[in-house]
Amino acid sequence: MTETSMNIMVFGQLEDITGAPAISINKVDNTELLLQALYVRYPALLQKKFLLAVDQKIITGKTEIGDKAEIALLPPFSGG
Amino acid sequence: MADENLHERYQRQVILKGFGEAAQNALLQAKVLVIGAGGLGCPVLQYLTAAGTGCIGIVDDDMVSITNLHRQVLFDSNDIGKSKVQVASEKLHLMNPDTELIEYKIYLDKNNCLDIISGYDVVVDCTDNFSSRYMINDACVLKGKPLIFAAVSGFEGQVAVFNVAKGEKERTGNYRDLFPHQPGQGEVMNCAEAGVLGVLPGIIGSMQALEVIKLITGVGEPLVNQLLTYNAINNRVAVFEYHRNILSSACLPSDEKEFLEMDYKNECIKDSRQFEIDAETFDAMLSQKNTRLVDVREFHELPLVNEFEHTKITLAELRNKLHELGNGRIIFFCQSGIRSQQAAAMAAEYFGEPGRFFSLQGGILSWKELHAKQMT
Repeated sequence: MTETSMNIMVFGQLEDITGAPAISINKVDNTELLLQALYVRYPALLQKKFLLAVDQKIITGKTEIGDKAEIALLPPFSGG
Repeated sequence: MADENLHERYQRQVILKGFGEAAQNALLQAKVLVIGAGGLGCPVLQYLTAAGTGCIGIVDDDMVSITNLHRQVLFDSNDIGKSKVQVASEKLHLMNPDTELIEYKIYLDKNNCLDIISGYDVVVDCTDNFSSRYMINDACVLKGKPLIFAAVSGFEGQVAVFNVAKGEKERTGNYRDLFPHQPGQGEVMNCAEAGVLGVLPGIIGSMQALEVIKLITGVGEPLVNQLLTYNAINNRVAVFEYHRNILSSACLPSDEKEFLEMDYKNECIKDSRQFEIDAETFDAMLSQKNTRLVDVREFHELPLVNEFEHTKITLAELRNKLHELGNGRIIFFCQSGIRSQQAAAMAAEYFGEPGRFFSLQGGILSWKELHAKQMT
């Protein structure tokens, strides 16, 4: 990971789309830009439901992403 | 309850510093409803019974099958074909005759759900499908019952504690604060295809039982306003915090009457694509008279749409605003075409006129993408 990239943890079956449980993308400043970048790189994510977490906090609106922030994509699970 | 029982059977947890007789007595008086006696339900039932829970209700209409046995460890080969609730109840009774077991050999639906859960202090969701999970969540919010949630997928699990009383009127977050809408088809993988390693629901169900015990006894910190995730592949555990979601209350039924009118079975979008129009047809319709465009996304969602006039009614609001849609042709759009499909289906059903409601296929994102390509 270089200084200009950020790590994203991918949970559950979203890994089928990203191909790995952790991915790296170019650093962006907020979650809106992050989602745009993710959708460009993985268009199939558009069809999936998931939560976005920044530093272990699930966020719903536009949120700043600090340096070294930990990002996670969390889909819903239904199995029992 | 005989005191000697308390001292002997539960001695090893009663002597625990921070647990003690008060915690044990709270457990002995608790009434817990466990919905689903499958992969998660088995360890939940076993540990809650062993720990001395006063009364446990078990809901499941299913029979034991051979494909259950690798993970549903209450059952053995001789139980195949028998009622899960009945077998579970017999085995749990042998384990601890002090626990009162109430059998519900039924499929929980919205008509029996509220009545059953209202008799319990805590509800445990061990089901395996989104329809039941959303219904149980909503019922617990309406009835003011704490809900212990857990779910698995592949090698991973999630655990959370919902709807715990906080002060006089307030309650902590619930499942709709995380995921306000039930996922549509294609938004998550079909569970039957996904497979599960036997021990995983054992681990996650045990965590769920632990959260029940913590909540009842007041010992420790239950996962309130938090979502725990566990990954069996790398042993990674993470706890995520979340806040109340503005959409949650919009999606919840506001009273029992509305609860009974909810369509949990079909909230998942049906596969039929009958309302969908492609971007080309959409563009052709844009210029026609008597056509109204409705954006059903949430107000904060991007991209903004400046290319054509439209009205904003979020999918959550639409249920109460269907009558405002008026006559003429109405085209719904959203981000990727899933919610708009739901909106079109809702409107078509409300007006009984399927012919005049449409949904933009692929949503505004693919529409914008197409137009960006045409520009270059």
